[in-house]
Amino acid sequence: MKKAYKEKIIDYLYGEMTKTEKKEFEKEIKNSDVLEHKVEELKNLRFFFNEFKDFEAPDFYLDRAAIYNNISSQDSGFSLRRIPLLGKAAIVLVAFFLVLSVLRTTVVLNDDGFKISFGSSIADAGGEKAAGINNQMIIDEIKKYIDDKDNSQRMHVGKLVDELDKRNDVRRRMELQAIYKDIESLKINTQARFLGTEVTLNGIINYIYKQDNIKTVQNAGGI
Amino acid sequence: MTYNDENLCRSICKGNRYAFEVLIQRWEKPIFNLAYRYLLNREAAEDCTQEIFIKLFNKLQKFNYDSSFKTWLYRVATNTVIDYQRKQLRYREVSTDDFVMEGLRTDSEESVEDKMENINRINAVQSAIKKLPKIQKHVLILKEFSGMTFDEISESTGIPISTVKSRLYTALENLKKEISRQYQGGEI
Repeated sequence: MKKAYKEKIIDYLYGEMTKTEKKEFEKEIKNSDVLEHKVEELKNLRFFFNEFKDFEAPDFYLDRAAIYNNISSQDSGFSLRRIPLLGKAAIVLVAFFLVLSVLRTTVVLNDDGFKISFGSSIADAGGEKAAGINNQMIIDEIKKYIDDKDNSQRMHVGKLVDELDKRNDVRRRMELQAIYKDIESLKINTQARFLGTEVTLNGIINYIYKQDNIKTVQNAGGI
Repeated sequence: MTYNDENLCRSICKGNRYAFEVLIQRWEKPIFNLAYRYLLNREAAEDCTQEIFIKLFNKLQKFNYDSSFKTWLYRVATNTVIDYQRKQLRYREVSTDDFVMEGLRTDSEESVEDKMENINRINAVQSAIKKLPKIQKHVLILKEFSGMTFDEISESTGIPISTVKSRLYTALENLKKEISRQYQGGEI
């Protein structure tokens, strides 16, 4: 069959013809047994598709989607493009003072070994006051992006893991964990790139999470 | 501001998580159905739908608003489903559900024989769709089951409209032949 006719048949079957086109084509159908047979066959086939109904998404699906939304949106938290101009300026300032802080770094020694802290600049929380920003502001800013978001992420992932455990769905649980790990590592790397070096970032995280029970050893030379 | 898809996308790009949830709620069923038509397995379709929405979120910054969100979404979705299928084939074959039992319209007036007849037909159609070449299957599913217009399919697949139509015609022809071969009645 010619391509033009194939297209006409499709237009006819799917109601894509104007009234006039339809009338003309129906005339053609009447005058050709082959065409009539072809159209009938395909009509029957299409009629048959109506036997299928739409498949309902499972009830629990929405929750899972919302959870995944939270997981994936972690990525957005650190995309510079998504931060308004003032926010970008603030982050640049924070990053600048972080670099200053790292230059005056202190190595923190706790039970896990050496960790990085800001030493006296954080300890006296006022080193940068003259520049209109203090260390607490830096910590708060970082916490906002690292600490808080991580908590909500963990909470949501936890919910989903519980759900999968209930269903004894080991395979999907493993997949979820793998995705979560990837996103987490991507996020950490993004942060690391943004903030300078991963060592610095780990230092910040360690400082935030292990403020208690640390001993400090002054290190004039930095890392 | 009306919350059409494009506005929701802009809002998501500004960091509004709720907007993404609204978008998911709006599209999860059609996208799940699309995935199901390809994969014929509920569990795999669920997994794949998750993947589609994750990918959608991560690619949203690249959406340039030149095309409609729907056609862009379906492009992301079909590419993801095809990738998913490829991955599944590499690792293991996804078993096909006993699809007929959940896909069949239930009519209490039908006799057991009629129901069995319908089940046989649906199995034959389903199995025939599975055997179609990729692009034919793609066009058939988007038109017949996702209800997209030819313009939308053309935009989503990057194929000219006339080619979309001729591919669809060939898909229907192939389906008919395959079903006639499989189905015991010979004709459908």
